[in-house]
Amino acid sequence: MSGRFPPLETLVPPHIRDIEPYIPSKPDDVLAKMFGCQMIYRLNNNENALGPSPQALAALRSLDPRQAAVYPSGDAYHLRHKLAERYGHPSDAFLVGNGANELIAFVIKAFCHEGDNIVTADRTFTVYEWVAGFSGFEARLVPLADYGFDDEAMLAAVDDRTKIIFVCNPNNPTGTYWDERRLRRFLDRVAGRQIVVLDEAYGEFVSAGDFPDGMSLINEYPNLVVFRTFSKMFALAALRIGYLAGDERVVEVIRRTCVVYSVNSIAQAAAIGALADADDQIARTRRMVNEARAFLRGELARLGLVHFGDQANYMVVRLPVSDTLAYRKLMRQGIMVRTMTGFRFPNHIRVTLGPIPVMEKFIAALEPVVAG
Amino acid sequence: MKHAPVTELTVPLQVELLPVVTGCVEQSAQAFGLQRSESLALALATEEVFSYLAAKAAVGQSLRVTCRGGGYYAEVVCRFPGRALPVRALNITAAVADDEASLEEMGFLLAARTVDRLAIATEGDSMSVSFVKEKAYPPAPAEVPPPFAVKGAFREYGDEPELLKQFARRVTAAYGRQAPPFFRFPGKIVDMVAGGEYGAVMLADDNRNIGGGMFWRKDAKMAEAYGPYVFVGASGLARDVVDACLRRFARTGTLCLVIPAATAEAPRDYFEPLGRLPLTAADGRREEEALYRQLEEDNGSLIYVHPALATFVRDAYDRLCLPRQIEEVASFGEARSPYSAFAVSMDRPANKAVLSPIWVGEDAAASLAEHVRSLEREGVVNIFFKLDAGVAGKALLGPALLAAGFRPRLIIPWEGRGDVIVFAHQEGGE
Repeated sequence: MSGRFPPLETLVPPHIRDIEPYIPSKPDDVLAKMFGCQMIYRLNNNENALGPSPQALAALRSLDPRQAAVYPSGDAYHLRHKLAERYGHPSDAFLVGNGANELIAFVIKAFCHEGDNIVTADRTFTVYEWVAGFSGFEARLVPLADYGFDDEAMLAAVDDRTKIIFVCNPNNPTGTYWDERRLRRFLDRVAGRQIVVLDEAYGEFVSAGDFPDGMSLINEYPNLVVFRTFSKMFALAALRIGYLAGDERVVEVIRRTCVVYSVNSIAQAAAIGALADADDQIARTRRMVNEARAFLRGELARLGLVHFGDQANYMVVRLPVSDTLAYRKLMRQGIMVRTMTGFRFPNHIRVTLGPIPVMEKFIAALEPVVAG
Repeated sequence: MKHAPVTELTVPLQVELLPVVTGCVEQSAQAFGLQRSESLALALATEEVFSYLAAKAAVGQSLRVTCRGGGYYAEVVCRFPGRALPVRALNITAAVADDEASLEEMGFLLAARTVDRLAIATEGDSMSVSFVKEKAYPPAPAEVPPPFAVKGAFREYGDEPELLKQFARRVTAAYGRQAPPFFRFPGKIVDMVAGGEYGAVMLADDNRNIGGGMFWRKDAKMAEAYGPYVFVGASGLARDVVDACLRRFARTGTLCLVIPAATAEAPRDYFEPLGRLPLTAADGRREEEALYRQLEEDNGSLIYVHPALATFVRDAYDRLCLPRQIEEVASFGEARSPYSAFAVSMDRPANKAVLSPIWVGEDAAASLAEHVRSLEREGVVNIFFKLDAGVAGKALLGPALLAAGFRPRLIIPWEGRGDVIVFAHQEGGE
């Protein structure tokens, strides 16, 4: 080794020193070897078991591998125009990112300054809190009320240094949602003073009539920024592509912090394909998810297990044993679920809703775990 | 995690610079809250290291001394080139013979006894020795905190000093000998939490009367917890305490939580049993149950084990469903250090000693047997051994441990560099 080791104690800022790095799961082949199972059914990440839609697959197949030498469209030009057509907003009202994580970072970087804070729930998608933390900003975490975002408590947590309020609708992992009336009431109370991010990563799974369409509220509430993703409903998780929409003037500010070229050409092409037959993909997926939910409700009731999550493509189940022990026992049978201790729901697991045969395997594996 | 105050000094290993080193250690320790007598103990230990090394050092070699304040203790770490320390002298059982070399080691013998904890480590081609001295605290007054009528619902409170002191007193009053000894010193509990290495969750009513709580020590990957302690008959309070504790650990990177001596109130559906350790007390024999709670995904690790212990280890991991790559290691006559050193952690009220290896050498079996005899002569009846299975060299101790009468009882995931195998000494060992 040449040169001196860097003085990390002085180079690393305090807010980074205090952060534990996120360690992702090992790849499936490694996990299968570790737990001694033949294959793994992934019910941990809310992926869509149907896979990408026919048009998205066609778009992927049509790609010329030689185009790998050419930079992608830096601002996802064509995709933004397709989104504009679908949702009736100008193309500049959209910003495409390398998954929701990147979009969260863009928004926080765009609006937060030293001493500022964000407000969200304590038991929701972890990345709002995580990005705020490593960016040096306080994340004010408001407890859920009855498993849902507590609008009054969130408003009470807001102060003059609050820049962004993150609302996950429906909430991951509890599956609860604010209906349109409640969302409007909240936005009215915020009265444009803060940016309100409405994360609709699972919005396309919800068929309830009173579920709000964030896209349609942007014109009325220019402080509203809506997040959506191609990872879940459109089954493009491996390609890492999501987008946000908002008032053009607000999006123009966010664009200043965005990393151009972060979304590759393959992802952009697949997303354009996915939009072409989006309605069919949504209908097919909802059918699969609803069947799985009905099946699981019956089976979980038979096993005497409390569960929640009436929307989205997952359910949360309370177990009579440690969720992390259940994870290991299920993994030995090739079933991978999400433990909820890290979401501050000890002894709960989250399971992705998928085809009935897989749900049957899940129940068959879960039953002996519950029996002890 | 709060950041401990640190001072650091790099000084050439020249004997005339000794006052600079001892002055730095003594003054740093006092600045970190130790009394003068405690600071002097650390300075004496450092003096012995410096003097010994300075007498043998080559020109240009230096010692790096790092002093750190941990709230309830101060630590001194001495790092130096080479591997010159006489590890044999660090054992509590070491005796100094009447020859010149042994007399040189006398200083180490003294140093090892003036501090509360010591450790030796190697880093590449250098070595370090660390000394820890704890602050002295007055014990809690004898009168027991009065029972109270609960007002309102119990809710979580922050780490306020007065609440921590009340918590410590209630734990000691309600759990007696089962309570870890540090709870007898409420001021120490406050400093332990303020130092950032320990944490507590307390549920109190509207009158700030604590109904229950848990206490823990945070490590890099494992947290060692105590409790849950419950002082009133409120339904489900122990469960609420554990829930609150686990919520505190969410997203912290801590892999698991272990309660080495679980209370009867610990909700069993939140934990997995690791095993039981026998404990003899004046009022008879009992067993302490160790409970385990995984917090984050465990991506596995490499475990070194001597073939003599392989069956026990494999069965334990199979029961825990923990992914581990188990590698059997044995000695094939390779050269080893002639001497071993073992650390001894004493819990006098529980009449208990926990041994662990500082340095593994050829005399391990004899040294272990001598440690056991020495402890038994002192009247210690509960003798345990903790072996870090993440360190290949330490796994070689397996046969020596069995020969000295130790038997493996349980495995604590991630307590050391890897998992730690806990052995209990049995009377009449081979």
